[in-house]
Amino acid sequence: MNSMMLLFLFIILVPVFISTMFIPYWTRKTESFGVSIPEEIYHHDRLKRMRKQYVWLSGITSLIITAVSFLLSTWMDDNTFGIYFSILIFLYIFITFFIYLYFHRVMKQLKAAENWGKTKPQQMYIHTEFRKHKLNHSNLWFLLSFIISFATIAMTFVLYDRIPDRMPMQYNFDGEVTNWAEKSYRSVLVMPIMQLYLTLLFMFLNTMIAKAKQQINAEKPAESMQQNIIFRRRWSMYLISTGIAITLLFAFIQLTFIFPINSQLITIVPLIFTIGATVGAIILSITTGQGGSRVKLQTDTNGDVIDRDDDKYWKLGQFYFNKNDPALFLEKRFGVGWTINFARPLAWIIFLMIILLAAGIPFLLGI
Amino acid sequence: MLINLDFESQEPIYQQLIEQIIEGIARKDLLPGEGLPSVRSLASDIGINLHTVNKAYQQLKHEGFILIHRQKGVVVNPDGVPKADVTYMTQLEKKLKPLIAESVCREVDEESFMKLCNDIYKSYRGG
Repeated sequence: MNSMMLLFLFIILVPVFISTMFIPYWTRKTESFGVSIPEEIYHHDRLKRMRKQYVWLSGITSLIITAVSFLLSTWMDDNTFGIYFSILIFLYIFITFFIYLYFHRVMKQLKAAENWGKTKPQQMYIHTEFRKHKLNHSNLWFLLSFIISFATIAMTFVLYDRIPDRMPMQYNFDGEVTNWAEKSYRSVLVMPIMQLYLTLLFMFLNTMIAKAKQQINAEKPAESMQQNIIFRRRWSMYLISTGIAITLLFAFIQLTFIFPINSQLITIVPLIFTIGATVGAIILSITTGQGGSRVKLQTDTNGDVIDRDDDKYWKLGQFYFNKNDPALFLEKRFGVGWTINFARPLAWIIFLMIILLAAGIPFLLGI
Repeated sequence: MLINLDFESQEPIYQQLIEQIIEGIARKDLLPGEGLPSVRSLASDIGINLHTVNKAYQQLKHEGFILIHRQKGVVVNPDGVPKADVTYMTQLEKKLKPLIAESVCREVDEESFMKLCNDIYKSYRGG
């Protein structure tokens, strides 16, 4: 183990841990551990305690996982450690999900016992002009990404002769190359094709942001709609900037094949990108919250109605399954961002296509 | 305009949709020629079957409140809603009769009933 590896572990793990621990604070206040509640209930002492307990429990799990991975890394070689590390991450996801499920069950029992949501009428609000607002930033921004990708391709072929016969594809934590690719017209195109794939993916996600289901809090419809617009625009902005940054990163990696570049720079540049992207996502989650619920506008006071109770469509409080709903994409229940309607086959197909393409590109190009 | 739906109500959702849109036009929240969401986007946002929204839109179209263009989508009738005719007035009378009958049974006097009507009329005019 060396210090570089510690740093890498730290950078990968910390954002994952933070975004798991603080989810209960970033969701809409009309939801608690996957159970819908009237907003005033969110500030109940009982619920405050539950959120704190969740932070502690998932925090302790995070610490244990970190400690175990550092211990393992001291007496294992990189390859074995890599396998154990993946197992540990899987274990982490598993354990935190069970912690969530525990709180989900408690919440469900509490809701039934306390009759929350039974005293106020449940309503739903839809604004007819919601989609006339600018909900995302233009996909034209991605023209920049395309220009960068085509410049990378042009540069690759112009300077093809200068590319060495073997290109490093993967480094270990010590900065040594562990996987090489033979130079060919196909294999030199891996980076540019990944650039194009990611740009198209980001364009799709940016479109999805605008198309996703309109979800207005019935307790304060006007404010909630404004918050939701801000929420979508901010994440759209985030997508565009990380999208362009990632194409630049891949162009840089391609450059390292052609020109001799300081090996320290080769590790630092991706590191800076990763830090920037994850810190950006966390800051955005804290300041905006799910659906824009943390954006302060104060234009509306809570009315006498609450959101429609749709708990029956949320399996385990997290997986939306509603056959009658034509919507493909909607806000996550427990978390920040969007999820799919699992009752719609098209949503599944899109989901699988994205994964298959990502896995298939290196394979098709013979790496 | 904000459409407000009550899923616990006995009244079917498509009926609530029709009433909300008519009220929006009465209140001038929806102006002649103004675009309404497409069937698919409204159904997705509400989380209901496409047929439910389609049923509401078809009825509104039939009664002259909206037009459904192939290209321009759904719009509030730009020429305004057709004026009341004899058929409408007989229909209105038929709908009012049981309501007034019930009010008589419950001893709501004529004055209170008329005041209520006045207030409702004002709420659409004054907005």
